[in-house]
Amino acid sequence: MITDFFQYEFLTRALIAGVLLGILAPVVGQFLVVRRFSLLADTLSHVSLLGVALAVFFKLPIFFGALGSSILGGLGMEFLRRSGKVMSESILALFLSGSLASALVLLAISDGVSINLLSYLFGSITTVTNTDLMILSLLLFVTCIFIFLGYRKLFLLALDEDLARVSGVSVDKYNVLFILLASAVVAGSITIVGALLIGALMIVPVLAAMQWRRSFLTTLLLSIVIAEGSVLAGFFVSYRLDLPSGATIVLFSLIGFLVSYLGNRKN
Amino acid sequence: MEQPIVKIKDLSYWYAAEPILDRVSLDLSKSDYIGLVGPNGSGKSTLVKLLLGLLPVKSGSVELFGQPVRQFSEWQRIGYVPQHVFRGDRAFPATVREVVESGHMSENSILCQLGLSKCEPITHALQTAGIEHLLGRRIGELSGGERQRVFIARALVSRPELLILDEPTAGIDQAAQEAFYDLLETLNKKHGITILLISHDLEIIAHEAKTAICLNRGIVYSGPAKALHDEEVIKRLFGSRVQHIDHV
Repeated sequence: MITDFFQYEFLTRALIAGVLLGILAPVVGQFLVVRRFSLLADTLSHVSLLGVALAVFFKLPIFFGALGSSILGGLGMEFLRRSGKVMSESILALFLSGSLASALVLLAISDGVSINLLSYLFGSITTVTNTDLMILSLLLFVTCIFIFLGYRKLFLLALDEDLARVSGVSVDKYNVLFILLASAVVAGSITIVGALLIGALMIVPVLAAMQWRRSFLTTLLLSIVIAEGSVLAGFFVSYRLDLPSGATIVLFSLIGFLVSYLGNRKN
Repeated sequence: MEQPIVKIKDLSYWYAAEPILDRVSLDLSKSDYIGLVGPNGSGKSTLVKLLLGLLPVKSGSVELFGQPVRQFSEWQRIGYVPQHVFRGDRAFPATVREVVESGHMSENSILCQLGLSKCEPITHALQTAGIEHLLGRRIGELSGGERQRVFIARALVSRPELLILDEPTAGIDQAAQEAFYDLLETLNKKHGITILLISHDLEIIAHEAKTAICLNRGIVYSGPAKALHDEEVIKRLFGSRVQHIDHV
């Protein structure tokens, strides 16, 4: 069965995409979790669905539609958060429901255009194209550079925003850069794992790794290990049992959380 | 004459139409130990935020080491310990070592932690704050007093000339408070670090600081901290219906 993944090109592409996502999602996800922005990933993924609908409506490439809308949505949310006029979690609810409703209405009025919305809600890892792989590889490269160079500043931002400002960190600039990065990761993943599941892949492995109560860096590395384990196990099991791959991957990451939680109850 | 470390001149601030600070002027010089005291809502926290550039100056001026605060960039010369250090979750995945090392903003911490690059030592800061034994512990697992010491150590790694502490012992038990103020005294006397200690507690400022500045939107007293026991000063600060009773 394992040889199938190297024999059939579409399976090899899916496996590579999964491995790339297994690094990308938890690395960005850890900074979302520690800053209590866990739901941001879910909101961005719903906002990018609106971008998918817009791309279909205007006959544009799906990725660029998703990317444009999630970046605009992310910046809009950051602008509202900074204004202090709407509570943070309410901003997420506003964008999440608003963008989903707009996407559904837009798709309904797109006469003659057929789109399999389910594939964007749940993803379709087995239809990964070479373009998808190139986009994911580029995103991973940019993410690694950004985290590598800005690690201490991002860590300090997660610890305390005021402390970061007084330490000379350009807090607003880093917040915007991080939103752009998270938006790009969500947009790049939506066709593969889907709007409903990318949030889980970004957050659950991090929560699992946090149960082991290690340092920030070790937690980051552990979350990648757990995400990769979930991706590989999810792939093979879903292929073998003919199950939806995205959902199976998320279920394995939940098992990873459960094992980590139960294994560390005494800590 | 030596240039003051902090120079605040005619500083006023307001939220909407509500005045918060009214023409406040003060200087901090090298090795000062100044206690800024005032009742709740007197403008202490606003003054600190203006001083650190966390709020924009609307009227008057704030200079740090001779530069307007907006243009100031040598933040390693200032150590800041906020009022509620680490408001994060107990599960926050960071060790004491990582928090203290975050005081060195210039180096790449991933390479340091992986042992691939030579890191600035943090030993002197850990020793001074007396927290060497906590190095591998997670920040969320520490008591309030231990956390304060960790953030003092973090502030000390860049060898600052000015240390600003905003209500640093709020919610900390008496024994931990005493040890904490002994540490501040050592930093001021032995290391020559200028200290600005903000508190609403007159007794702490009277006991710990050399000079007291009493704030109630404007400065109502500036002089030796011991004089805070004076009934006249207390009346100016809190009003005529308040009477001073010593801590037991």
